[in-house]
Amino acid sequence: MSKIKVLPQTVVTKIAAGEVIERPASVLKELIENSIDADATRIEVQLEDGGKKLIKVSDNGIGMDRDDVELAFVSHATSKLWSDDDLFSINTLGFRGEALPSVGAVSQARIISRPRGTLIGSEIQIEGGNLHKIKEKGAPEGTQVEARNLFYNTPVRRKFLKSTHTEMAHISETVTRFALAYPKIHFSTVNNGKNVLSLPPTKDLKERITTIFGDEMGKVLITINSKEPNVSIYGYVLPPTYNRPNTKMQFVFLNGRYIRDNIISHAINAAYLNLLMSKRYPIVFLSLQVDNKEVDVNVHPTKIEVRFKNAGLIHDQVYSALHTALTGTEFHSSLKATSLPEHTNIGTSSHEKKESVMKSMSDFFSRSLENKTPYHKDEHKQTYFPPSKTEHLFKRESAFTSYLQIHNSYIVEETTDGLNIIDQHALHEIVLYHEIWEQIKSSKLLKQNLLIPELIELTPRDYVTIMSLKNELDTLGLEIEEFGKSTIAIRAHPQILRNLDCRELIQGLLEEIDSDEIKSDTDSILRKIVKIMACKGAVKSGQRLSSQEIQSLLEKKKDDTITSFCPHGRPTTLEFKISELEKQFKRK
Amino acid sequence: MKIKCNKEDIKKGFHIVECNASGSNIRPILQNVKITAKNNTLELSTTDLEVSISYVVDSVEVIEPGVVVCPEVKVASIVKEWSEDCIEITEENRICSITGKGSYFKILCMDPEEFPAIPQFTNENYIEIDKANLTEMVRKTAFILSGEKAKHGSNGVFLDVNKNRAKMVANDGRRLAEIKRKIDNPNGLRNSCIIPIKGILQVLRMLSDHDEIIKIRIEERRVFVRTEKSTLCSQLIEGQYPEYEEVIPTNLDKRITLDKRTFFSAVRRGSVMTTEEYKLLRFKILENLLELRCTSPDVGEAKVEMPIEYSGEGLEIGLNPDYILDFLKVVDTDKVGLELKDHSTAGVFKAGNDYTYVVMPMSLEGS
Repeated sequence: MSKIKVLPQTVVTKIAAGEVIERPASVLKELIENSIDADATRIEVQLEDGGKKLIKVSDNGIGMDRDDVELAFVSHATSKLWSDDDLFSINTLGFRGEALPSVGAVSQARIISRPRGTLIGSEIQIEGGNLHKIKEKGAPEGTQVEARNLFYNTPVRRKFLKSTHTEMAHISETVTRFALAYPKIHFSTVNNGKNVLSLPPTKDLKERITTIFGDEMGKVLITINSKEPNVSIYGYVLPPTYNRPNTKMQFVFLNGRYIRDNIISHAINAAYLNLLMSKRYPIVFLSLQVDNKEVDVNVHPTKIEVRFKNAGLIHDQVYSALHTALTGTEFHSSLKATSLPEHTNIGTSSHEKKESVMKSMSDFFSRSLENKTPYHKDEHKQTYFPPSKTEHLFKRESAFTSYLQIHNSYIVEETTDGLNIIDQHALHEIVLYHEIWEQIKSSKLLKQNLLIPELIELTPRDYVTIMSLKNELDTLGLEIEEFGKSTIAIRAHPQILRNLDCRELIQGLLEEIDSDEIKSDTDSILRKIVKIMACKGAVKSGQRLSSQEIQSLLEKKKDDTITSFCPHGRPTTLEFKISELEKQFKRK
Repeated sequence: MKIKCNKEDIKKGFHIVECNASGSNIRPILQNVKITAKNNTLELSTTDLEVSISYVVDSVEVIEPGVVVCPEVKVASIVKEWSEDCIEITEENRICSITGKGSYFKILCMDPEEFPAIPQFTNENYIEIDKANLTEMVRKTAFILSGEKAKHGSNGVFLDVNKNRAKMVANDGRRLAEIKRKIDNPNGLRNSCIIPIKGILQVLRMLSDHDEIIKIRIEERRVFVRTEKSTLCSQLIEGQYPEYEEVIPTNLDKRITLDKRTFFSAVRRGSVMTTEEYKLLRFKILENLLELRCTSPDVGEAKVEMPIEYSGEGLEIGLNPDYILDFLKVVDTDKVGLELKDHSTAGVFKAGNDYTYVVMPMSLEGS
């Protein structure tokens, strides 16, 4: 007797369902997709026990007639795809004809539907794959699909369902994604008779973001808009001061479908490079319209992953759209995020898309911060001239010099309209970063050779990593040399980093640079190394500074080339307005 | 405890043991001074566990011997401002009283048991050195390490004792100073150690005392420096000092002699245009002429010439002017010798007998 048997159909559908349906939220996703494909403008979600007991989606879409309802639970039956060619130009969210049968296979499901403009609807039920007879049923226009007791016939999977609370979190995540992708659709979600998320139709994405995430976020949104043939990008991003420890707040929609894509994530993070601390991620809402022929969405069962024909172009376009928007905006950190100071954005030029990274970097740093310097404020309010260095020298005498170092970590500086609290490490870091970069660009990098080379012993793996960075380090004035087995000798270091602990720098490099990154372009690796150099070479938190050191640091802060963020994206300065103090002390 | 003593004597003692532990907020006990009264002497000791200093005040009238541990800063300020010649200190039930004619002070004391043990000097296997020589050795080497916060090289001064010669060396990876002086070494000891910068700077302070002959005893983990009345004990930096002699270049063919004052002024003027970010002074040796140049990208440029006696091959070398100035500040001869080879080999300065200062040049990336 042969050992190989063709599986019975019920098992096949259960297996297929396993790919698509993991938890109530995945059922919900399939059902909402169907509703959107049916042109619904109002989608109501009713749940019991976070969907474990009941998931019901009612829409006001086009509905299905009796014949369609009868076929709805049949595998690979779909109205959305007619031939295999259509697979490559998919315009609807669903297309496989797998969703309803899968739901039907693992729950007790029911469809009631009444097509628009007809008088009578139909109802069909299915229980664990066993189809009941179709019946006539009175119903409102549109379709209602319900799935009860999910996984009732697959006890193992049922056991894996998490608490109602967790499942609800997944569900609201799902609804949020659709709500952002379709701001004009009315969504409402009710769990155990309690209203969870009610989102009336809004006129655009911005309004929807505000409804979901609040006014505060809505106020600081930065618009993204970029159009190229075949690809247009539209959406909003938030200033780097708003960030998250994970990428959950990065909503990327491709032709109305929520996706997670490494290439796009990389482009987003690259645009925020140097604006954010490591392990912090920006908040973005991006909607990409890409010609259907340019993208394959039939890669993953839940369609969360897609494949672009020309991933490089997409990456560059996302990066440049975000980069342009971010460099055109000035960020301030304020002790109170709700009272962000008004922007006076002078002298920033718009950036060409294809501008080299190096150029955009230096421009980024030369963005004016003149409104941070009280002394310049009144004089140059109308027309802004970057003060020449010599002019600067004379001005120092008369500028404010009221400061105080607290906890050996922060400098409090008096300004004309309040006070600044400065993170000494962050500020010095960005100053150094900029200075090193300047020197490299003008090829005026001074290198101090070492009389006694510093020997650093490494693990064989780290040794290889460091040695493969030899050329880059050389360019940056850090001369290293092999010194026997797994030991490197440092022969010279950049003069500017007198206080650098080479050992610490090498460790820092090893921690932050993965070996795969070394193959990437020189420019980004150089920037990364400079970043680490600046970090390790800067004064530390908890280090007592002499008043001269503080003064020179504060003077450099006034330099028009300093940004308000350290290379990791931490703010260097918090502004505190005297008016706010007065308010707090109830003087006003 | 109850003692009476001359105010000036005890004041000098407090000056020497002062502040050794100030700023140490890890263990409050370290901010105290331990006062031990016995056998007509009064011993003051402070320690921060790394470096400890004691000073013995003699000809003290000890009425009742005993030990007191009390805040150093408080007692020192009382003693400094004391207007009478004689000072009387008594201790009873952990309260230390300092009494005079019109005033009295009562200070709460700590438990003497909690005060860390102060290492005791063993009066054997030591070497002897002139105070002037030791001062000079420390002054001419330690400056390399005192300013910078860097951790290049070893953060300590190397002391090497061999027969009747002692060497002291300091380096920060970029420059090195070595000085050799005569010592008295009756036992023919051969020993070396690395003294942390903190300890060596305390030695300099301690040497302001009147004694002429200093005893140094190197132990495995610590070093003692002892004058007649004060004793300093510093922990040592463990490890091997680099083979520094190998990096001092020997085959230097371009030798010039510089007048210290003229050279100092030339370097100072030449370095006006340097900035913290751009500390480079180019030294160009031509026939009978030394040319110093600095072109600072953000500030401007400077050229300073000074006559020298030289007829060999020309050479240009980039050096950090601060390193030269630091060196010239401690030099006390009128002439300074400079030996060079090429733009990438270290320059060697010589001033007087057995004092060598080596500076590694800088190079400009891309030139």
